[in-house]
Amino acid sequence: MDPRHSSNAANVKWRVLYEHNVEHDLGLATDDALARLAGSQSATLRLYTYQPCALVGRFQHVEDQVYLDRCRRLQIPVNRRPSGGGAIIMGPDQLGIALVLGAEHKGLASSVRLIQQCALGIVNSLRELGIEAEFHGKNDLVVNGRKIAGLGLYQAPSRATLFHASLLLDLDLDFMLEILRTPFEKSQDRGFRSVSDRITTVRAETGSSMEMSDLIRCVKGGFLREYSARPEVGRLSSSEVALTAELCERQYATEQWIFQNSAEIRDRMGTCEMRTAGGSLEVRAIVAGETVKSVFLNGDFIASSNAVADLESSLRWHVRDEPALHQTIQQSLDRNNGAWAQISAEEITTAVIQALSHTSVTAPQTCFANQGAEFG
Amino acid sequence: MTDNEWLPKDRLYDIQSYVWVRKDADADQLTLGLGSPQIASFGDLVYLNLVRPGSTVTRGDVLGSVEAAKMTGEILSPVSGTITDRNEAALKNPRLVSYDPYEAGWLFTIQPSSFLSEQRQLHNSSSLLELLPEDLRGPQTLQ
Repeated sequence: MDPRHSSNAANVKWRVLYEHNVEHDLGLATDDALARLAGSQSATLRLYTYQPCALVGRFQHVEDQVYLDRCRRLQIPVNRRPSGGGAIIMGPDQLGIALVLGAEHKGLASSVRLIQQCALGIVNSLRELGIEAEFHGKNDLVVNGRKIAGLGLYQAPSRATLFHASLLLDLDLDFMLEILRTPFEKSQDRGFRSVSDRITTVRAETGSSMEMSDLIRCVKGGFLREYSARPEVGRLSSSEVALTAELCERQYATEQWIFQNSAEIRDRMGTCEMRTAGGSLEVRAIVAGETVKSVFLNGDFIASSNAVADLESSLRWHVRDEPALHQTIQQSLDRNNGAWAQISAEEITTAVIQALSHTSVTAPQTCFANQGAEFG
Repeated sequence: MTDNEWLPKDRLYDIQSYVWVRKDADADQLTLGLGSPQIASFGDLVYLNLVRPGSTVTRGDVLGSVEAAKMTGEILSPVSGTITDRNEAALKNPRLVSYDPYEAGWLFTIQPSSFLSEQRQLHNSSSLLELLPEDLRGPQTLQ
């Protein structure tokens, strides 16, 4: 069921909350408290900014994702989201979006396309600014293959759904690369497509110096229009305030939460370089158990940027199975017929399999380094 | 996939968590796992953590958490008792839960403490099917 057409979404007022310069633990605890206490048919849209911090995904190993020594030196706190995905930096130019929907939004809570549906609010907002964004891969919102927002979903014990997003008004890339580990840094001097080629921002796309307050107004309007919801500017209830404080103390402010390594499976990264008739091909693959999380392609072969972005996106969260990988790669090449010169699905498959067979731990999975762009 | 494969008839289900409960014929303990409707909501599991054997839980407590293709979430206990075993193979390969949720992808065995009363709050496959949201009533959601 499309939430935009569900009776719940149309008839329920959406509470809208705003905050600026929130501390990392308090910001996360607030979202969590909203989800845990969400009324069955309630909807809350929270738009906020953090004090500068680094946030890793639910099951990531902090030390694999963040330069902890630099964070300590620069006094940048690190924390862990309840939602999944990659590591991000947050600060005054990154808009935090939390949409909490109660369990009775059944069309939302069970939908197989829930994250795309939630993302429509941002897509609609960006369209108002003349930016055409689209959902890509597992949890990316991209503009011409460049990531502009990272998305995640968390289902709370209440069965309420928390949609998390970080939307880039702007980004200090040097600062991000100082804080977050990325899969690219070691290859930058060899022309590997850098993080900057994979990311864009609202200011870059609009060529403006838009203020955060303007973006917040735009995003609020985009969500409310997309879901035909009526806004109700509100504040946290006393029970939400109390639970936020409790979650902050019991969970989000604790090293036990932030530095946990709760999953048996740890991300691993492998690389492969090979020569093809179309040129050199370098594959960098990140794997978690039997799941290929990301594949990045580089080399001097000829291919369109969209074709490479499509292939990289198709391989995100793919089962680690050679025939299935080959089929997906072949399908991507077929979709982009003519965009690849003298390089075959078999060669790419071989390179991916070889990369996957020689992996080691410490595989950075930075949220804003997952999309390919500007290639060949 | 048949209705019986989607929601096997030989076990009970919790409507809140979609966790299944099977009473082992030759033992007092129960086996627990994630039902197909929950897996359809989550998508393929990639990361999984589970509480350790020996843990005492009450109905509704968090037994573990997952990160899957579509979302992260918690696994809630449908019964009270003491965890006696957990599926180490599933911890090492969470896709086992996605692909074979009712057999190889089981999650826990538990020694129940209040099953006589708590089982009244669980559903058989037929009644659960009627209560499920429309898009979780069959394998079409796994597309």
